[in-house]
Amino acid sequence: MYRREFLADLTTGLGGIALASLLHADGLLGAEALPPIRPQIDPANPYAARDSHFPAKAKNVIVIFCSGACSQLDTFDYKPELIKRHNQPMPGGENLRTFQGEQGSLHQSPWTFKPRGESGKMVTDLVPHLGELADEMCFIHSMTSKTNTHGPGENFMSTGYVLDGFPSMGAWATYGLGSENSDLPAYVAIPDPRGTPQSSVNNWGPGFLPAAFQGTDFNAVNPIRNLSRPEQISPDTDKATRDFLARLNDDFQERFPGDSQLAARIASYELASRMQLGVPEVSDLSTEPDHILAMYGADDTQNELKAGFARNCILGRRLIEKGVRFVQLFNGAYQTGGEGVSNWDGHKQLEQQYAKHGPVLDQPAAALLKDLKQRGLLEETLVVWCTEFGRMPTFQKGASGRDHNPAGFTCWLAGAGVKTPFTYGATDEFGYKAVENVTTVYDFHATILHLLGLDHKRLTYYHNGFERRLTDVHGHVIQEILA
Amino acid sequence: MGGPGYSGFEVQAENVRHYFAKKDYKAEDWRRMIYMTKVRQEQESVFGAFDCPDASQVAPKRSRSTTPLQAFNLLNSSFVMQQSALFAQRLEKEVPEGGMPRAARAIELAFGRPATPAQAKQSLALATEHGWPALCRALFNANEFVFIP
Repeated sequence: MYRREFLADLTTGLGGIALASLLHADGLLGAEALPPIRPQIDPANPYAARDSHFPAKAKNVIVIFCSGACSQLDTFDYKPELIKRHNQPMPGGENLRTFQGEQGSLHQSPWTFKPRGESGKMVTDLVPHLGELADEMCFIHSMTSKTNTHGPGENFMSTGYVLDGFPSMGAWATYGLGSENSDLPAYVAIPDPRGTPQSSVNNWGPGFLPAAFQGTDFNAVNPIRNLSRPEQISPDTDKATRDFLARLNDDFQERFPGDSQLAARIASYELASRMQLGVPEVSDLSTEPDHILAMYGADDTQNELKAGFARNCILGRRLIEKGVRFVQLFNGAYQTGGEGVSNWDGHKQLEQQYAKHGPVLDQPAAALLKDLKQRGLLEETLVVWCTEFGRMPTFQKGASGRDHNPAGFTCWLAGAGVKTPFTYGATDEFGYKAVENVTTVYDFHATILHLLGLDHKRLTYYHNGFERRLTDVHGHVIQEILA
Repeated sequence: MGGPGYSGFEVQAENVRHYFAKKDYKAEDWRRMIYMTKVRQEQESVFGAFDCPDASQVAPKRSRSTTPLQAFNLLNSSFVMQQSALFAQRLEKEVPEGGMPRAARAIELAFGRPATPAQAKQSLALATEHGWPALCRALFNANEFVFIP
């Protein structure tokens, strides 16, 4: 060894040992960290059911995502001080510039809060049906987001990253657990009858996970693209084509025995054939009795939008009933009108716009929760209600609506493994900033994976030099809200 | 090489641009995918189901998966139906006498190798019973057409 090397070693080598020993003493090196668990995916059967990391409380998840940032102040976050100081300036508000600019005065909700259920939880008249079920819910009032912009905000809530191109929560869940149903997609996204949310397919994308784990999007009106046989192809022709294909593929397989891609492709055609029967069957709501249609509001002839969302909610329940692992149900869209027209983005005319959106969400979503419960499905299904961020307790300067607010908002959970009735965390006296048990989207995701029996730190996919996770390098399971 | 690109979407401009995946592709769209303008956050109707990487992340390696949506796409999409009809027209033009020579030519064009006698016979049987476009649709769905093992 040369002297120079010896000296270099002495500094980095011995210094390194000393540092490692110090870090270890502080438990900072993560020497105890458990190794990643990368699910083994059989290419011929990517949706095979896989074991969870530890016993799961929830088998399935259904997410109700209110696109456009649904105001906590007009729904679930009751602040007497906001009512008392209605029309007064918010202390510190004069220098505050939010997404669209300056603040007007504090503004109480146009809807009245009333105590609901045995818990007496205060919920507004905007969502009275959901209010009735307050005892079934676990509210998190201290949610925070990293962004005040819809697209990145939706990405963050659905994928854990504000940028595009990361796997969605449902993709991670199906990658980890597969599916219990072999005739339906493992993961279904149900877009609002009005169209897709701002971040569109990125909300249910697979990112860098294999495309097998992307959400399949369809709703009660629009079936899966290309699901049905084209008109010009008769059933006989289709059958003859598949038989012919099977022979061709057998020949080819003989030339390349043991090729898993070829086997997988044959399996995917078989699954496609089963889905061709299974999807129309699950989407056929004509077998639902009248009292169920009425319970959801699917028979409402006065409110077509509500009836449409109600049908999507019934579809959601039917999918969960069939063992689909992860369902995302969107309320609100951007394709047919931005800024509050078709979604919860009530910047300038909150009262008129929410008066339209409230009834579309309220009865159908409440009926979904009730229906899951009466069928015993809530015992193994986690229901998640979320939105990308919250809204300001002030009205915007010169307008009658609320600006974006990622500093504090409300989400709720219900069903399997969740403590109810329960309220976790709080915003300040006006409902502006989360101040108690401040919760990140990472914590929210870590908790959802935990309820599915998955350790958010260990469920990984190696991509581009990283062991990627839904929660990046963050997130703590919110132990306090677990049943 | 070169020339204008094409889009996989119909675009509607509002305060943000809304993209609707094209359902029908016309002659000006019949170019390799490398000529397609890439729209972040959106999935067009053909490649999205086939592990086409999202444009907003670095993708050193394309993930490879096999899904029923791909099967639906190749069996039932209007694009594949259209291409099957065009393939059948080409076969008719190249081999007007039809029969076994046309069936053999179909296999040769689709798989880049001569047809085995058995496959030519089976192909002719399918085409005779169900029409040449039906045979073309079947060939586009064959593992041998889709994969190079």
